[in-house]
Amino acid sequence: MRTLILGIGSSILTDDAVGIVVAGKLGERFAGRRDVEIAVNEEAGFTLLEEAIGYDRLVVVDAIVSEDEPGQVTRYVLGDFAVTAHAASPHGFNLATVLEFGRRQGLRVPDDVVVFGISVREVDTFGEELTPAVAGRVDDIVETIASEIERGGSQEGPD
Amino acid sequence: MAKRITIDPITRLEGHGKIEIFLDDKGDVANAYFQVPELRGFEKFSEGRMCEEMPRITPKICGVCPTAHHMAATKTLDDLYRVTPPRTAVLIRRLIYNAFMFEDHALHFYFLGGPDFVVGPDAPASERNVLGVIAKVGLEIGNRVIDIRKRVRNIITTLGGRVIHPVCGLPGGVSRGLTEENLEEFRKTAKDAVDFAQFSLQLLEDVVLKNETYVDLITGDIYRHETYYAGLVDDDNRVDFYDGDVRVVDPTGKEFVRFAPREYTEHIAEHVESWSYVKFPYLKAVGWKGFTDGPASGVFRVAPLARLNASDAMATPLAQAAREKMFSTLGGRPAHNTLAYHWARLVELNQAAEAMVELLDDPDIMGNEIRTLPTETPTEGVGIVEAPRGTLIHHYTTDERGVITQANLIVATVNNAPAICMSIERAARGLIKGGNVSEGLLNMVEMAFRAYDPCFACATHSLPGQMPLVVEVKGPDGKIIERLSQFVVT
Repeated sequence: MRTLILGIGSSILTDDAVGIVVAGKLGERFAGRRDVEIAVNEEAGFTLLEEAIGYDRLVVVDAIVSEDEPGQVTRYVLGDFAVTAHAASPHGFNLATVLEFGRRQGLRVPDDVVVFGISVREVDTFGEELTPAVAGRVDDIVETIASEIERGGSQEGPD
Repeated sequence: MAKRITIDPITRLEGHGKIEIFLDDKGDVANAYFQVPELRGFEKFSEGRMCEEMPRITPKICGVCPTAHHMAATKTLDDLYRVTPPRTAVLIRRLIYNAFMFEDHALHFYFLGGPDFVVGPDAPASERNVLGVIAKVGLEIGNRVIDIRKRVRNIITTLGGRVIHPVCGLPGGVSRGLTEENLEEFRKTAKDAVDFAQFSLQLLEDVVLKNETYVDLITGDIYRHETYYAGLVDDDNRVDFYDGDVRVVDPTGKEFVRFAPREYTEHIAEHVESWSYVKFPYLKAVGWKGFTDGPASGVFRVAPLARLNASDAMATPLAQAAREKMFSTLGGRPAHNTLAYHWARLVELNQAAEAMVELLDDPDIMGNEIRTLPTETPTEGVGIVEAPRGTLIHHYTTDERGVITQANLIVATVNNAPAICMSIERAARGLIKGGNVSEGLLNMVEMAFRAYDPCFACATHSLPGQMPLVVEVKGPDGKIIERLSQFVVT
């Protein structure tokens, strides 16, 4: 099974870089494995589909703004986004829709997709460093996600 | 009688746009406000950097329009150093830029704007997306979108490096030329791009323009403002995405002013509202009269429809024919109908494709001179391009070494911010009466601003990759009556 770890975000918007930073460290962690590859994407949207083609499992890591403690990791599966995306007007260019589009077009799109959202604080201010609260949690975040990848994961989302 | 509502200064927005609609005692709309998070600290972030870094860093501001920032920053460097790139370099930059406009406009029509029309505003929510579009037009078209996009993006990455880490633009030129192999392959891509653009126009005609309900929606009153319009034009007043002067026309279409990029601060000022971090640009000579349209209000619009309104013609023949058809259907130029932005986008899609063909047929694009080395001491520079979403302005001041001392950006969508507020208020007024918030409200309000294809900060870092939006309808006491949201992970 080929796995892609995809870190998304922005490397110049302070905590929005956390997905990129964590993906980089996961890359070091899985450097010896031919079945795990790492990519980083700052472009958003449709390019996420293009990155994912050809893999069996997709693990996305990104910053999220929520009321949880900085550094808290929440695990989502695609079904979670379908709920929020279709709540009102969905014509979504969101990850779930874009992967489904790829699937219907007959592209080899991963069946196993999991998204790790990392709670952060500051994503609206320019900066090339994570805030200390988030930076201090990076190693733990890497551990949490690495364990999941090694275990093989499951298709359930958060409660 | 409407109660006067005091709005508290806004607190931090959580990475999503917010629309607040205030009702009066009768339950009708008193006011509507559209707020977006603004990226802060750009000036501080830029100070102390070598100006040559800007074409590489600023593309990261927006994951949707990176090439627009790259090109605006590059042109700002040209201006800073007062250097003129050789013709070959200009042709290469134009090729990259038209490729980018093509790819972005195409994606927008099929994935973002298209669903409103091809599938229809009354279709169930679960179908109003690209999946619904493809279900209606067929898988084969889905494949065409994927294929042409991949090939056109290849033009950008071959000449410019990775889209979000471009290496192409240098002050006075570009870093890479075309090879003979590139030429053959790119020419084929460009011709196919023209076919695709023509096909997309035909699709609009068959699915949208032949449908009376849609046409009524486009020409109706809910989505119409008689504003000023601005866009870059060449010496013949034709639409130019990459370069030229800014031309502004009044609501009757008459030229109001035309200025070179360096003069923009003499003509555009920014108005501050207590409830928004975003500043609202307006025409200085007319003045800020509030969120209103008409010749006495300094509000102006940018982006596809505005560009067509502000110009006398397109720069390529098939696009020109499409333009003429659009204006004759809508009752002449200028067209004030907000939903016509989608149509204008397809006209521009054609120009971008045809421009690529013309550029690749120009023998000078294979020339050897790809850079004029700067010799002047840098001081201050302005670079303006037309991004897919409107006029984009970069402005840097440096010391004598080229280290930035001041930097300012006016991003495309901010130029449209006052108009977006107006469009939302107008839509809300038409749909909320006597306290009844109709079910289709969110979608109709969204349609108003989706036409502008707004690109705010959160497009890059919101996980769904789409602008999250919260709509709150409040009573005269400020209490929330209804809260609707999309893409906000709750």
